[in-house]
Amino acid sequence: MKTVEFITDATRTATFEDFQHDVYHWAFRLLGKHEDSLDVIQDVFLRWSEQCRRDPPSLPRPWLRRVTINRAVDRLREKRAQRQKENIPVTEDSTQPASASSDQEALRLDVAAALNRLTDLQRGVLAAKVFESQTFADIAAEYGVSMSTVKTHYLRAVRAVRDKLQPRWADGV
Amino acid sequence: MNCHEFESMMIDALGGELRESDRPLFEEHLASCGCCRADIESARAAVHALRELPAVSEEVNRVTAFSTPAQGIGRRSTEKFRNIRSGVFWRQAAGIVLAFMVGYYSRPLSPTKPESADSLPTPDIARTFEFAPSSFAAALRNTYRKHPNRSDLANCLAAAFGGKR
Repeated sequence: MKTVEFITDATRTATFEDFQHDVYHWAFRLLGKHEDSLDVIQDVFLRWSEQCRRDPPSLPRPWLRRVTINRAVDRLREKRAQRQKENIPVTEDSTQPASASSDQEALRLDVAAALNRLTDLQRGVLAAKVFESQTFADIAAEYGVSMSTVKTHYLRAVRAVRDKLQPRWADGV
Repeated sequence: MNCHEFESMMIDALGGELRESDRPLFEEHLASCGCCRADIESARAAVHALRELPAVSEEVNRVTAFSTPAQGIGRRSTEKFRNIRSGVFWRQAAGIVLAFMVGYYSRPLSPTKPESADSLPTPDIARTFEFAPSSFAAALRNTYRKHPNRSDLANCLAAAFGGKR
């Protein structure tokens, strides 16, 4: 029993060392803040550890990607709600941003709003394709679905993001 | 090729996996159909916007101390102890010890009649410090007399030891 615990801990540690950069990059792409990304890493690997105790995922990468993106989207949603509560203008009102950083933050909030409407698989496919440049075949193998399913989800995800971002382009942002 | 057939090629093109053999057909339809052209151009712009989101902060790139993101995880707790290392904690601790020492040595040396509660500046002060050792209470009373506009304990200590709040 003790040996099994040891192996599990070693696996968890190895997973953390192997994927910490990936998790950070996924989180940072969406959050754009170092501190927030670190919080997400901490949260994700805590959940990973709990998941390993209950039912270890067969492949860590898709699981970590899904949880990271979900967590980052949740965080951005909270941030958006907070901004609305404090009457700080969000994307709809910020057609002329004060700076590039605020523009990027508005863009991230829009992307998060778009991702929020997608399924876990669609988010995962989009992130794997856009952020990691994986092939459709690799993504299909990773998620255990057909390539046509992956392509369909990819197109839906891209269109959802496009639909959310289009008003910005119309305003010339 | 109709627009529905074009869609599957469009996905490949968006994913950068369009086969060379399909490219002429793809280009041909794109040239003839304005709807599909607008569709793929806007979708490409969306993918481009996502790819342009930086994957790592410039700050992290600059700071070499954190070679891995995980090293930053413990940074907040480390910062708590940075004050101790930098001496801020020790300066504050020394200030408190000094406050008690000055309070002790500034007590009246000659045996005088203990002040009654009525002679205190305000009844509140008497109530506040009635639990304190007599020397410390006396020090605070002296401080209060010198700085009557400062009434709370922290401000009295600050006045006694030259600090500013």
